Amino acid sequence: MQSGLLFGERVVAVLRKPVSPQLLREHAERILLSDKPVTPLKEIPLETPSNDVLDMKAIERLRNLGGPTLVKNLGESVLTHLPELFDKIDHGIASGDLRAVGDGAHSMRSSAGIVGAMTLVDCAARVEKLSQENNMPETAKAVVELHALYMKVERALHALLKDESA
Amino acid sequence: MKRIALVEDNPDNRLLMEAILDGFDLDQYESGPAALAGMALKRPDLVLLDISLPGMDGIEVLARMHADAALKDIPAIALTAHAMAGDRERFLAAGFSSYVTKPIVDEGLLFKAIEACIGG
Repeated sequence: MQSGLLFGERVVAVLRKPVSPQLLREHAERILLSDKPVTPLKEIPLETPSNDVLDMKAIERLRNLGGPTLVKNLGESVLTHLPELFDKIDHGIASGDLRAVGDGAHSMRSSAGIVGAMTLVDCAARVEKLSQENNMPETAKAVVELHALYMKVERALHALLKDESA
Repeated sequence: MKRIALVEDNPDNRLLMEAILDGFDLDQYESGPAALAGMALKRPDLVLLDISLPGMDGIEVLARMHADAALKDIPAIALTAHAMAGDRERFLAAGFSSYVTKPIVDEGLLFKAIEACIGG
């Protein structure tokens, strides 16, 4: 579960529930105390069919390699690991530690690729690149998009695991 | 059975590699220091070394292996999510025998690299 932090009518940060008071305060300080205008976010489509979220060829390859057990184990592993990486990325954004953001995005790129979540891979690569360029406003914007994409991947992976167990 | 040391901090990649490398004795390490200590006790025939390890990165791990008489002859393959121009040359110059990009989407390429290092 995730929750958006609104500034005006725009989402400027996404926090995972239960919301950490410290992380919320850090994000609020970053936004409210900044002398730069908050970067508007582009519209993110809310619904994408699952097969656009996960490349089913990647899933089939995993199935051929280790059967449904490998698909299930890797799916569960990714669903456990990616939220941990978001914690690292979010803390990095809130505290201005772009190196931590880049490290988290780098690892996310690899994990997302395993389950064929290529839109997440591309977005994580963009976050990594922007963080290396020391571009905090654009990195923060891309991280919000990363959260939105992950919500779709998370739903698609849960659906996949349910089918795999059936 | 050939023994391979996998040095990788990402648990999802370790799980995938475990499945791919089913036919090998596989020792897994999450960090460079843990790998250096472990390989001193259980010498592998080959090491698959992630480049972007936290703390001590893969290039430094390999440099330390080369400085250790017991480990310096172990061939190493770089595992990297980097696919930037010049990376191949950089990894080969550091002493890696080969490199494979992650995530592994073609096991055949990995097996070719392994075979080139330690035979089939």
